[in-house]
Amino acid sequence: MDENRALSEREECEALLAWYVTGRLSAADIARVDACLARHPDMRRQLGLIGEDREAVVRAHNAIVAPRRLAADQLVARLPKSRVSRLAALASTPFDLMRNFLTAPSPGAVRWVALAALAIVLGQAAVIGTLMRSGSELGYQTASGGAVNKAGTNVLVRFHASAGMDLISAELSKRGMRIVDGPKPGQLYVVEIGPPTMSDTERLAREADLRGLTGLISSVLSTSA
Amino acid sequence: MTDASDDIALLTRIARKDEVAMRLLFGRHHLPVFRFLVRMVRSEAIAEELANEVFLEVWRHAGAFEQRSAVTTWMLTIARNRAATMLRKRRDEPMDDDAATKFADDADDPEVAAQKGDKAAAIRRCMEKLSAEHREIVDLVYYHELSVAEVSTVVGIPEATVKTRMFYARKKLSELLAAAGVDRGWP
Repeated sequence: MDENRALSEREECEALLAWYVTGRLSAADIARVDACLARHPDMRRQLGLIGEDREAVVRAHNAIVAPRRLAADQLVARLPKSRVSRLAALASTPFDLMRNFLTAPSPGAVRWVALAALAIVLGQAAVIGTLMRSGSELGYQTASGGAVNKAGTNVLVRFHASAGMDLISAELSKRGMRIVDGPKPGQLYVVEIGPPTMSDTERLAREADLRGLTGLISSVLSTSA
Repeated sequence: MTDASDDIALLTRIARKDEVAMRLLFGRHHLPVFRFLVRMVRSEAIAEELANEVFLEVWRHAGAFEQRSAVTTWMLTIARNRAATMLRKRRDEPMDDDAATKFADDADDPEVAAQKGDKAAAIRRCMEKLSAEHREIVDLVYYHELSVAEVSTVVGIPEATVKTRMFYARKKLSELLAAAGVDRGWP
């Protein structure tokens, strides 16, 4: 079997039949194979043989099941962390701009760092003090058991497997929502639908709005009691 | 989420170190990459580790992806290179009995399967008897549905050789089946 030997015209057509069956030929090659099949009708029988072979290969692959462990979580835990956080990558709020400023100091900027750090510390102190007074509870337990910080009001969403990422992002963004975590077991994603102070009426309205995206979303699970 | 453009959008976000995008890409491609690796290295534990290495490399180099190939092709190329490196290191080490047993199909031998009239089982068994090169190209074409050009990129051989190798892989399979008593009338 000399792989460097040039195939005859018929042999090359026979070789292309595999891609003809999987639909991965260019229009020009499809026309070429069609012409071959017209010239050599006996070759058409091979299409059935390729179908059998392909089914055997697909079955062999499908018999290999995914690792049971939560591989995605393990992988994310191993990702080398950079200075650019997920939040910084997703948005361009004044907070993000300040973060970028702080993480890329120049000699001229160093003076500002101390001021910015001081402002952040004071801000955090004010927030913590307010929360301690109100005694509000932070976070909730997801179905997978992981605690999620409640930066906003979140719901668990399962998207259709066929839904495009661009469209999902566009629809969520249009509503001021975004994916903040996932996928969780069951292909669930944590979607922030608004601020943590949202009223029940507004939360329910937003959940209903999401449920209305039937072309993209298969289920919306409320995380509130 | 099956479009190549979605993969490009995810890679753009991964280049900005967006972990959610990484999880999405992982969810979409981990299983095919894992299966490709299992078929190459014949060990699920090693394949799992190699698959993680593939995604770590994607995380590190997403910004350098030039879109000259599909994301799937790029990932399979990384996977193949990783597996080939590992196999070179292990070339002199015999496969342990457990691993050899694990990847021996539970089905009958091709001859027995053919006698029982179980043609599909005979085909599966004969597929496993193909050389690693032939099995690889058959997997890439039939399961991963790569084009001639994409297989050429992943395997690192000219497109003409891809066609020739596929031709000979099919021919060899038919010969193995004929030897097992399944005459397919080709070649």
